Amino acid sequence: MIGGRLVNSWDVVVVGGGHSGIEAALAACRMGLRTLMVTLNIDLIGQMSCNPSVGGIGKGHIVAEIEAMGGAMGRLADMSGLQFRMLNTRKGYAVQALRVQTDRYRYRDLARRRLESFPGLSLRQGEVVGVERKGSRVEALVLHDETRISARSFVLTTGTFLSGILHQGFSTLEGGRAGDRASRRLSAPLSGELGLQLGRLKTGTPPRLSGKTIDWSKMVIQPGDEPPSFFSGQTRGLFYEGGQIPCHLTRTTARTSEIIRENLDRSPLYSGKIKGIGPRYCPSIEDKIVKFPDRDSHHIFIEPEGLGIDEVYPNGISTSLPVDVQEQIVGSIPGLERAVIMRPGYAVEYDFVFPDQLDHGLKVRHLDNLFLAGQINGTTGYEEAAGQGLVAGINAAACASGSSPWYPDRSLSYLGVMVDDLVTQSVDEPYRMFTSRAENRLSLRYHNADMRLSPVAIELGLLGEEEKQGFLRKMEEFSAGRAEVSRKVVGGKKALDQLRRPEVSFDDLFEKDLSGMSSWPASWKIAFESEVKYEGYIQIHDSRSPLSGDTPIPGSVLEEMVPGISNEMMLRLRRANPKTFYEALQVKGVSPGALEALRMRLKLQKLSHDI
Amino acid sequence: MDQIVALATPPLPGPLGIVRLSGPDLIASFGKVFSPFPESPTPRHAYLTCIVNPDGTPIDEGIVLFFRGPDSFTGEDVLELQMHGNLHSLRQIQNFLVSLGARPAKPGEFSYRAFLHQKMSLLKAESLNRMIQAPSYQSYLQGLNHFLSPSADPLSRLRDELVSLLAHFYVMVDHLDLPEEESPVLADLLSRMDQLLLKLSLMVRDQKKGLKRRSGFTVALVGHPNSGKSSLFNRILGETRAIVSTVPGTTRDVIEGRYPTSFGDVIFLDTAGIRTTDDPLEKEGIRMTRSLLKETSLVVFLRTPEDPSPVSLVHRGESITVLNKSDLLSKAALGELIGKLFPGTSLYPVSSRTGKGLPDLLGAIEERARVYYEGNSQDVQGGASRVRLDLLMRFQRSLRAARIPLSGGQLLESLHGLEQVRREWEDLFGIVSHQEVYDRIFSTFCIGK
Repeated sequence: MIGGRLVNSWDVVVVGGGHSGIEAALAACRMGLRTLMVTLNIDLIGQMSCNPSVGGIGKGHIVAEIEAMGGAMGRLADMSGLQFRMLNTRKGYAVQALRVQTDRYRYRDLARRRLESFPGLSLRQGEVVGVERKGSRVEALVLHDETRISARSFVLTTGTFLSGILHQGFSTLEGGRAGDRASRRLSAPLSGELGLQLGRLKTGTPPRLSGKTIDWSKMVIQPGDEPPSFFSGQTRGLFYEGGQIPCHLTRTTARTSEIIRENLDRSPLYSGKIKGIGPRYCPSIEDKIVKFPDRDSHHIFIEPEGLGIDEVYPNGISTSLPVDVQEQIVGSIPGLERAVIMRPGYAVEYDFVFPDQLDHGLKVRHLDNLFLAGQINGTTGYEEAAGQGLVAGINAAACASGSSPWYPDRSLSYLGVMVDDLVTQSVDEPYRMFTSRAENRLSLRYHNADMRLSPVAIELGLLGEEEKQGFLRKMEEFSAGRAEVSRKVVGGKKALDQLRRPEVSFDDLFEKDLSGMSSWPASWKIAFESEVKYEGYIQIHDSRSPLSGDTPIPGSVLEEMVPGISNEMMLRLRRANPKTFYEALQVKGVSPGALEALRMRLKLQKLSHDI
Repeated sequence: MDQIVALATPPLPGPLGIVRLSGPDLIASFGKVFSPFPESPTPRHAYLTCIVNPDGTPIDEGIVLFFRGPDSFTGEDVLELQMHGNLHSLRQIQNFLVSLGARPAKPGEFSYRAFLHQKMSLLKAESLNRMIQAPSYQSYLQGLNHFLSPSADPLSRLRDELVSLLAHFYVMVDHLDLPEEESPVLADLLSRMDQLLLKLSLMVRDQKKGLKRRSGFTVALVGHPNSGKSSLFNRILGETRAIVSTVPGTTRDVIEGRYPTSFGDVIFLDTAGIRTTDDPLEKEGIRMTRSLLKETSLVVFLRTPEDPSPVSLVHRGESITVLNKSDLLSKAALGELIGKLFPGTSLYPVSSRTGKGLPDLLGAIEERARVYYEGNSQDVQGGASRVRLDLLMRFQRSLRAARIPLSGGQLLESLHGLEQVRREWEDLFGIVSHQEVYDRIFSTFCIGK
């Protein structure tokens, strides 16, 4: 203590400056807590380690939810966006979501500036090498320079840096990302001092190419939407003058497959050198060739890395083959014959913590004040990381201020689906969000994220006054609009009934004759229309069978021996401690038979209650 | 769950009669009825003991086995009493156990509990039943095959189709990065759904057909009242100790009995007598018998020397004629009657009372049964059951409902509809996890950029 001021004592300390760390630190700080972010390199806060894009199906839903709760990711993507596309527009509103190609340098820059703009938030460069624990509390972290940082609660967001090892052919290098050193001394205290069970995962990234050496004429151009839509209602347009930057599409050739097959013995993936499990939906090009030998070609999207930046990102050829093979692969692709590799691709293996050791607020169950978020929990993707960062940040803040935690509900948000999947089911491959994971898919729409989550955010104190007023105004307009439409008759039929029909859109029906509503932004109209369209389905959903997924599991049931459930299954269930039958369904390694038995047990319980 | 009790062996005199108890706290409730018997018996240990009345007088001596749940047939605690096969003592034992709190089990309740406690899937429970009821060794083997490896069941192929359908739905909503030529479109989903519906309706049809038909080689005994059908029936089946049961479902009950042969069971049906009448009730009876005859493999028409006229019933299927009560006539008179009434027909004179002529008749029936089972192996494999049919039809209904939005291009609403009835198909197929569907996706599609 110096002059009455606790120099290195904080309310919340967030370790890591990636997408998860940013949201965690911002959430804690917006909730009024003195927050410190510790990161290996302040210059690289908000770095996009892999592709320069944010959003997509499922992922875009998460970004919209982060935005609805006052988080940073949506606005950072908007303000650094080069190309905006609403995906899945023909498949129904519930699975539509925005994807933005970003200028990665601007994104990073804006992220840091945003963090620095908060008076209650400080940054500190350094590597955490030690943890001080007292009973079930983490007291302090120790940096490489022996600085001791204490706090009421901690959030770890180590990404791919925890004991990260980079693979390129048979050469390996310690590192969390090409050019950046790993956090190699933290794994030991996590598994030792903190008693966490660690596993190993793998992910990969493609070589980056020089755009001026690419023959664009051989590729198919992929433009953005005109006009573009944005994650945030506050975004007014592109950050620069001129049009959106397109992506380009090309494909691998038979020659590409040949080169890869000839060199498989030099692949660390196929020689067994890489032990970590990679994401199946984000496979390396060698995986694709081996698993689908009959396919003669695979898509490659060339994505811009930044405005006025020559470097481009060829999405689709993630690889850990040696650099000379990467050169050959690139050369075998139409348009890339003469392309120069600026940074070779590589795979990274890193430590993660099995997330079934966490509760629904992402707190380590056996500790009072340690939260984990992002890739450390076995997920993949910036959006998944950011979403967890938000949840962990909120709960670390709640923990530090002694208020009750917030557990996102899986029937109300993708955040809830993700957290619930992670903590009840754990992971055996990197976890990525899909809309298929959300059983309440029709309600969890990109366009109604604010209606679902802003009320919660207001209660938690996450929204600024302006954001709050903006949301409340929108809600007022919606309820007025609803009343107006309910009264309205178009062509002799009730307008509301007509809008329910799949082929009728808001604009078709009302054109310009609804006073205020015709001037609504397009996203509002979609939100309104989809609400009306899905109402019928959602009501059905709410009145489910006698034993629906949300049937609660009383703790006592897990304590007793349920007939038909083996000891081992029972132990797994107890460990996961599912609150509802649906959660029990998600518990990893529990046999269908045991679940059936549990279902019967609950059914019997329900019956005896009803009688 | 309460405690249930039932006789596990047929209610016939025999060396053994097995009484089973299942439920919680069996030892606390029933341990005291055995003497000697330990307070905490070792599971799966055979105890030779007496079952005794409260006053200490023995009811019977036998072997008692204790199975501790969940390591038992039902998944609950089970006591198995292997007693002597006297129907009176067995009834006494059951009444005694009921007086101590056990409830007489409903038919099939032990298997049902095994299902509830996940000792058996519904399908497995059902194959077990089919196995026990199988009319021939061949069809028994098929039931056994399904019992031992459920994937051999045609239903598991249906499940496979469902997983594929879900995989295609998931790919359509979540994976845009597939090249256009590989990415499924609405029409693919529709045709997959229709495929599934087609298979379902074929299966439902087969099940219905199978349920309608008594599986196996069936023989109906038809004749005037008092022509000795029941005596013949009892004579044939009595000798073979077949179980005689009453099969409800028709206005007049039909008595059914099984006569095992080396090829498969011959199922005898004893029908009510037929006479020429204007009575509307009896007419209805004749109509019922006629419809029953459509489902039988062979009709045995009975005549007697007392009333040798044929029954007024036209039957186009296979039949043989028997002259029952042939012992009423002398050999000469019998020859004369046959010569007069049945010139040139193959007639089996028998006597239910003396058993005379029976071997020839049975030989003729067995020969036809052999031909039936050898040529009709498909027919006996139907494997129909009411449970299976109900589940299939429920699934069919909900799948049809889920198809409606899809045909209007509403992908998500259709998927939603399918997921809403998850319980229904999970009753049929067991749990289908997200992981399993994704495994299918990855083995089918090259996902990911």
